[in-house]
Amino acid sequence: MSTQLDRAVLEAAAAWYVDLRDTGAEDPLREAHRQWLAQHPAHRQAWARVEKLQRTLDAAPRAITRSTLDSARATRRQAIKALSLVLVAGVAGAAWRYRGGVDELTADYRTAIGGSAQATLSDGSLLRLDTASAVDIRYGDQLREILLHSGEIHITTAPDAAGRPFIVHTRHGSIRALGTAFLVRSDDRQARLGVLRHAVEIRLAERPGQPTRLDAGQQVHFTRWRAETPQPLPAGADAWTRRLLVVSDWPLRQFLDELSRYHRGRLSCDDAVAGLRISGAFHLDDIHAVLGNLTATLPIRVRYLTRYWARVEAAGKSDI
Amino acid sequence: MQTDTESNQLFENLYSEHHHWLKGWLKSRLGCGEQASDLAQDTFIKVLAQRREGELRSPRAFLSSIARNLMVDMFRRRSIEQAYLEVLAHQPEPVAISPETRYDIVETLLEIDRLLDDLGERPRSIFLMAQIDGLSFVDISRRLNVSVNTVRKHFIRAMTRCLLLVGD
Repeated sequence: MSTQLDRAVLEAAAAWYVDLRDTGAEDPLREAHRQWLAQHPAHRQAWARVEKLQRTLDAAPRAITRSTLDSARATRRQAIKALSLVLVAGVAGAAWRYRGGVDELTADYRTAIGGSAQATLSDGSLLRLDTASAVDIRYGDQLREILLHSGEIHITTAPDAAGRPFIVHTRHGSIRALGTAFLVRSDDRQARLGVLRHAVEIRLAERPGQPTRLDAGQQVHFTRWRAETPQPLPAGADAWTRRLLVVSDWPLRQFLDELSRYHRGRLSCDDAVAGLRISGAFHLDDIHAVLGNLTATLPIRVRYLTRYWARVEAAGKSDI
Repeated sequence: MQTDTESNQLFENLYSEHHHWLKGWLKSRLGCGEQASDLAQDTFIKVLAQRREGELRSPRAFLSSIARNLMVDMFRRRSIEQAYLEVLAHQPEPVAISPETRYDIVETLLEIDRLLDDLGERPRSIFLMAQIDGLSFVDISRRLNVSVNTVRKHFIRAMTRCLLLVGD
């Protein structure tokens, strides 16, 4: 069995690997590295892992590895996009970590692009899912846990007779509810948390020892390593639960990016119009109608390259 | 200690009470009865191999968590195998690869895919550029238009993650 190695030791081994990458056999760094190895059995164990990892990487044929890995990852993403909503009962299980794309395929609750869903969980808590979202429910004796694989959810917690804490895990960190309603969004890059009532506590994946508290009316973006400064929660942040997108003074490009989360296809815009400002409430059930409405209020027009690829341009622009 | 007969009996009970349910659980996720049957069998084989003692407190949660991992493995393996075949088909020179070599390559790719799974796009890409494409940090920093120090930071993050997962 493998013994637990400290993250710090592994990080040091990785740093050694980087430093030694381009040094010759006679470099004084080599001697320093030998001393580091001699210092502690854990250092030698970590270095053995470096060598093991290197053997695996060396066994991969250079010419095809990158394209195969990238394409496999892209295929899994596509498969997730194509899925429709499935509702199944909760599942208990082992410790969780994010597994790029494969978990969405087997999640307890998931929605397709443009879809939405809601469910009352066994303790009475209410779960709402926004577009292209996937979660697992893990209710056990000690904890009520939700795993948000991707997308956005709205949670209204119910008091629990057994007093079990309520925790939402994302790949970037965990959020512990302190009797609340809140929103969590999580994707490849970062997670976003907005608190609607009471307060929650965040623990970043790589800084689990330092919880920070976020109160009602606040929003924060975070990654595994870092949380940004909290900001006021924008009005209408939870409007998607009513199938609306509510925006105030957004640049057109940001608006289209947000809209494209609900759209099976591509929405892009020319740089010339990207900075136009938009305010209003838009129905998410008909993206084409939203785009149509925009042309009535802004000096733009929408060109459909295909039904799934719309481009927004300046109104005067002639056809290519 | 339990006798073999007792533990056989426990296993048989587990199988007869939950096998049908597990097949249904898998079918609702896979949409294919045949695959669901196969994976349900594999799940019980895993349970046998674990030689657990005593009765399970929540057998269905236990079974479905094993089945879930098998399902994840299956999705991953299938996506890698398909991608590998496609990439081979698009090579400029046709290459003949023995089944043994092919098996080894797919296993290696699966392992790397697993190690890199929960990394963000940037550290993943930097790690692959350095370790697979053989680029220097300076080249990578130029391509991505970031500082060498940023490349180094992301690389160390990615490598630390791999070292955590690769095991001894």
